[in-house]
Amino acid sequence: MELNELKKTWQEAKPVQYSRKELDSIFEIKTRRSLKSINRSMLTDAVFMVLVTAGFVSITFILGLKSRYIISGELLFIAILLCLHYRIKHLTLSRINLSENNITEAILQIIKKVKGYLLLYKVLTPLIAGGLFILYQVNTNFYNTGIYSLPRPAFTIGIALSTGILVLALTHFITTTMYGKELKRLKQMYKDLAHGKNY
Amino acid sequence: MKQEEKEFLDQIDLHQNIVHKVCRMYTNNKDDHDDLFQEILLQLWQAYPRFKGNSKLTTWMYRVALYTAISRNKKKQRLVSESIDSKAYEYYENHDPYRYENLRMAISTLSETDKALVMLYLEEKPYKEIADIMGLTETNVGVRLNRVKKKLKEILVIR
Repeated sequence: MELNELKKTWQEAKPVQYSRKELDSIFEIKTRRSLKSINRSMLTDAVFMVLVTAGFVSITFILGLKSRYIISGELLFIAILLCLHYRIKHLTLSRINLSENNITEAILQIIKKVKGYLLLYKVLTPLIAGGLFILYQVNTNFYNTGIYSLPRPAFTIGIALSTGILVLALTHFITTTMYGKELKRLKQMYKDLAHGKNY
Repeated sequence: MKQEEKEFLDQIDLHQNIVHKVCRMYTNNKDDHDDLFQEILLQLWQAYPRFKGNSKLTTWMYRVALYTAISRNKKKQRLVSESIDSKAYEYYENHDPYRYENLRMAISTLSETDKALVMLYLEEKPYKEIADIMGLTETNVGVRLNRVKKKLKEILVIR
């Protein structure tokens, strides 16, 4: 028996068909409910990130660092992470453009975009963390001496670099934990489809 | 119900056989079939506002449905392979249950992407359309289908 012979068997299988009433009911109950659940989950994430941001600002005030540069820097830091996180979630959850692309192209586009955002994470996070540390040192020095400068430049830059490297390692670990599985799944799908193409 | 929702459901109602066929290829019982149908419907609804009509509506539906099925089955691969049972052809009643069982058994050995190719082939879609849906060249479709046919022949000959 060959595949061609099975065409008839496939086509003769009793068709499954929902009535319009059933279809409307599935859409009302399942589709709408699932969308609500997805939106609720995104909202929970957003609230969590807002709370973290508020926490950062509070700590700054508690420590008595009233510099608007530090606060702005922290907010920028959180905002960038928040944007990247949402963009990746958005891309992998529901922005698969299959209207203009075939399945293989759509998957490749998502892989490229997610990789790009992960690279941004890894470049921006250590830079901002290092930068914030230097700003913190400059501010502390200003409160102590009244001069806007680094107290021990070589030492401070060394610590900033170490902070950057540490944050880079941490970012790598966190992004791999958060998005690694999804990225691996997408790559495997692409590999299966493209059979031998490199990406 | 909003006008856009009504239009969408009209289209789904008209072409629901596409979604059912994908569900049939990727599931083995009624519960899984219904679950996958709902998941595909959700993906179609989310993607509907971005459908610009650059391709045929049915081509777009195949793409979304197959993508959803392939990615879902990757996640549930183990569960699906464990759930192959006699309910498969009880639900998809057929004139020739023996042949249908053979077909399902053979299909269950294929990779998720090969299942998509076989489904489109069984639906007698031209290579050009298969290539357009999957993102392969027509030659590649031919080569891969030949490979799948050979593999299935070996399995089906044993039966």
